[in-house]
Amino acid sequence: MIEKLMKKYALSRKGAYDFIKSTAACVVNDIAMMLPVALLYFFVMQLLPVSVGGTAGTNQYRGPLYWLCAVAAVFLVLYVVNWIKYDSQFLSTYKESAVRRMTLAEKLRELPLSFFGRKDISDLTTTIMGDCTRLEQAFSHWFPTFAASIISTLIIAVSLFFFNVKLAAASLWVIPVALLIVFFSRCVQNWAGRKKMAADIACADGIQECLETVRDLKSNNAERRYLSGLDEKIRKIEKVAIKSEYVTGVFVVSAQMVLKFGIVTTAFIGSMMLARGEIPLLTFIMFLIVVSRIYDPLGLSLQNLAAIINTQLNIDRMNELYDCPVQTGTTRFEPADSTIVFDHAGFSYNEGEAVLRDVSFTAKQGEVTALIGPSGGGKSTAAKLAARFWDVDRGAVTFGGIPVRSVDPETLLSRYSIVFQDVTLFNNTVMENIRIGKYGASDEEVRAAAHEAQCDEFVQQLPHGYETVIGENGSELSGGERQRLSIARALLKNAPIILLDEATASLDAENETKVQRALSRLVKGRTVLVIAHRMRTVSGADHIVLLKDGVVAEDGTPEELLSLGGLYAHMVSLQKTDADY
Amino acid sequence: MEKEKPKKLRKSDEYRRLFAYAGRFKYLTYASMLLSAVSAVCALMPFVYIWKIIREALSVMPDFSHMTESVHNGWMAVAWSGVFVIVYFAALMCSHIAAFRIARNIRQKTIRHVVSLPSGSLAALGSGRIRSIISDSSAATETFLAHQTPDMAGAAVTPFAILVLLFVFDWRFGIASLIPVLLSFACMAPMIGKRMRESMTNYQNALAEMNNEAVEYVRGIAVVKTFGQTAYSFGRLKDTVGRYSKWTTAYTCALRQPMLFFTLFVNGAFAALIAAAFIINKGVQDFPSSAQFLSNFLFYVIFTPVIAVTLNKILYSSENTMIVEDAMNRIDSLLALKPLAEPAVPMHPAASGVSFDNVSFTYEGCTVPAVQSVSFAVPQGKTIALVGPSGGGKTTLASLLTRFYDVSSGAVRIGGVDVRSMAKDDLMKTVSYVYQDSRLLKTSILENVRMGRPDASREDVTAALKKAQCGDIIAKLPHGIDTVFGSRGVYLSGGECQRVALARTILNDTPVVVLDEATAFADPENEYLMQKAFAALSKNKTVIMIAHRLSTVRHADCIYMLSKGNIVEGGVHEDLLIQHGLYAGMWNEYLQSVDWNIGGKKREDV
Repeated sequence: MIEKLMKKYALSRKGAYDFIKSTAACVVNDIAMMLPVALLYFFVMQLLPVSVGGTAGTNQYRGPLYWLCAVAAVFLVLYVVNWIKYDSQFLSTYKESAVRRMTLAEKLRELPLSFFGRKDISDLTTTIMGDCTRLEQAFSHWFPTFAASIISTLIIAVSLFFFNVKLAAASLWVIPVALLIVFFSRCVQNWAGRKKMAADIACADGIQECLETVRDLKSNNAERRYLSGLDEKIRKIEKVAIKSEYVTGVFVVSAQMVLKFGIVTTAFIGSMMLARGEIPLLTFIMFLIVVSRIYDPLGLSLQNLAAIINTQLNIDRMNELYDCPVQTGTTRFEPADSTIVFDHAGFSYNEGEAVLRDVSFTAKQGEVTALIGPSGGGKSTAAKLAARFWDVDRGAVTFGGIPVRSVDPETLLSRYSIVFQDVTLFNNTVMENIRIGKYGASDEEVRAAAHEAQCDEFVQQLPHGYETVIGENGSELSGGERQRLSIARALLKNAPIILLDEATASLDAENETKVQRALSRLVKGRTVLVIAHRMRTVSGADHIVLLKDGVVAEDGTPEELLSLGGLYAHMVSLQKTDADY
Repeated sequence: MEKEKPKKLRKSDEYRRLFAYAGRFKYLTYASMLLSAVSAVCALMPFVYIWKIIREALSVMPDFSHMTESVHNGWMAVAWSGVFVIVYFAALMCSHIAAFRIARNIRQKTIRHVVSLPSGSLAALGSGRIRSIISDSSAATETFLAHQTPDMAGAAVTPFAILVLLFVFDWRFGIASLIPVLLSFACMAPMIGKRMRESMTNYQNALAEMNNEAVEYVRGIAVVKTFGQTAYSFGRLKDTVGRYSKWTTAYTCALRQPMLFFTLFVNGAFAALIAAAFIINKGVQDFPSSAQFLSNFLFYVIFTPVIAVTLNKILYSSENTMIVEDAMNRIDSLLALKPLAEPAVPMHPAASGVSFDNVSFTYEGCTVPAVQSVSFAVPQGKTIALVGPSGGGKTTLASLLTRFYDVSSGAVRIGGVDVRSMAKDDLMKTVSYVYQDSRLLKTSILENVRMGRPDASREDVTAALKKAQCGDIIAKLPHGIDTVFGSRGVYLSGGECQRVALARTILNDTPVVVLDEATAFADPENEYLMQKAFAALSKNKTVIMIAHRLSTVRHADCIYMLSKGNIVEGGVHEDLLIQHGLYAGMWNEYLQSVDWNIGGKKREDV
């Protein structure tokens, strides 16, 4: 049962328990709400003459003091029951939602990076946070009360049947009808909700694209045209929303409304049965009192019916994420050395579009291996395969003789210092951005790494030095500054394998020299894989691998390749012309 | 009742703010309120007939076969319920149409405003936050208007209808059943008070912060992975999730007692009625009581749950009012940002010489100016280069020309006209800025290139692409220039995007061009092609180049060395070399770095 709930609603184990607990609390609460009805029943009884089953004028009469005590007792019970319900309903859900968010963030981290290529980033963040907020609402407000209202209503309904079957049917027919409508609307709403969500996502993506390209749009005076395209998406939301509201709104509202007929038919049929002498007056009155209250919990829950049904979509998406296969492998990783070998490796991001066809080369420990070649030739991909960002489709990549795909990604990554071409910085202080390189590094270590990476000079000019917050993706910094920060990270980590993907491309000559020196100190005794476009940056490598169209086109020392007179020689000559321009 | 007044004022204030976006659709909202009020009255009518049934039963008892009216009364009760349902449906239809339109108008207005803001201030806000304000806050108003508004109108009418019924039947029972209502109102007071609203704001802020942090986390997931971080060690996310959790818990705890008492009183009418029964019927011992008294008592017993449901609706609506208020505040915070001022009387420059006159600029929140009293001129058709260490102010200076920001003091002029006196469109037709990270839209290459000149023909576009050396790119795309960028499998490298963006600039054919560090990431092949494209682009143009690569600026008509926001040297390459200043130093460094290697063999030399 717990497992089923966990699966069905994407809950943690504790969350599933809490859900059951709060539903139980709601059921108890709903039933406790019937205590006043019992009280009123007996009170009416003593107001009625004996001829119609009352106790007026008999010795069973109870005075004001008796009723005062009874009322106080009922109040006390209601207060306590409500307190328990409140705590189990709200407090525990909010705790669960914090757990859920962190679990989700962890899950995202475990996914292979290929996943992020497929999913749009705005889609992902909608998922991670929007869904959490919604599920939080669902599990604190909607689900337990809904489940409980059905259970408690059924319990009360069954007991009504013991009194009089015919009258009970007259009062309760609305419940199966309402539930039937709920069932049907579920089907319709799932369909309509999906369309609405697609429109929402299209619009959110449009807004995101607009915000990301606003600079280009404006400098081309194209913003008004783009906005009119976006208007179309916004209008689409309106159209889809109205449509889905009309289809589903009718169902949802009618489920609620049908309940309003319950008391009417009870009074109607009841009075006729009374006239025919089929039921005593007290039964009639009791039915009216019960029926005036029995639908309230269900009616309140049905108000959220649309939301409840829509939540299923959010849950599905959450589960889709949870179900994504993660990369696994052994955490016992003791390679002989840190030489990287590509053995007939093949890889494609999308089926049928191979980026690497058949790549074999060796990056030896203690050597600098340069990966060069035209854009799209597979250099960056190869570097990322070496660190198991993805798994190769064919062949193998080995680290000290051990295939990287057999090693747990995190264990593996702990052996790599990586500087990416596209630097990612966080909206945090300079200090924390560098500290990401090594969990728990001291301020001194961070400063030392920053110093090596030539960050000192510009960091000191920032308003709060190392404590300056640098904006979303370091928007306050220049390209070269960002790159130096990411080099500082790698220096701080100081791992046996170093991957440099265009690490110094956007530095000016002076800074590049300094940074290269720092990097050179780092490379001693390690395996270094460098991707660079500037020939002067790679011409001193021990070993050059030229990738073109997904295969190794040339492989050897710079001198060998130069004398070969192939593509490498051509590239070098191109840049010579450039320098002489 | 007095307590209610400020709340009501505030509520109408929300409507005023929302209706600013409604146009004619606000009448639909009014209609929905009216219909909902009517339906609320209809909803009470069946109870009147139920009362009639009970009264008849009690008056003929114990021989119930004398009941003659009950069938008629029963039908009437059913009929009124039916009317109620129909009218309520109509109310919802009206409110939904209006709500969706208002949300749509809010979205459209906000995104338009955002686009009109200076690009600099957008970067500071963060795209995740802006997107969430535009999409989510407008959705919040949708729920409020679609469901809350009609329900509120209904809930507002119900107490009055109840007051009327109170006189129709027995005013003493009426007052008794209103006592718990007043008590529950008293409990609600702290829930809608100022403190609670503050906590609501805190809660919403925590939510927004957490969402922003999640965007950061997802964006940086590659870094998180490579540096062995976990979601738990990724402190900022964990902190914001923790803070959010804390606020929700605090909020929930603060509401606990008021909520419990509210629930208790709302459902406490039975106690008041029993007490009232004793008081009204002093001689209760003399039962059986009169049919009149009994039927009235039963009416209130059956009727009071309606009051409870109504009160519950009011309670939730005040929570929703706070949510919508907060949403409106967020939207207004965006709308309050000042767009770039458009000149009242735009001027058009006759020439394309550029001059910077005593220009200073300080970033918001910084104390040190990024650019300080910089003056220089670029004669029409000439090329100047801005060089200097990174962070020296090159990019900042150049971006003032396209009003990425506006100068703090001084003026940037084109053909003698201050850029701030030019219409934005005119300025953009005069200056092209080639960014180092130009973005392409997810549309065809054709549309991307003619973004600035939608009337350009395919031939024009093809020619521009050719000049931008994009032949190889187009050749490899599955549908040539009609290939949709960003679609399945269509991938362009940074350098390739750059060249397509260059084709766009070439097609725009503006007299002034700014080139920003554009070749940093290009591979040799790309770089070589890009240099050729630049040459094509710059022909007969006024050009400002920003570059780290001294080789590319060597032939500029004038080179300005920027350091710490000031021009420290200026002149042609050869003159600067003779000065033996900063530039000469950088040049020597550059020459050296050509010979410098990362590789193992040179390591020993270091």
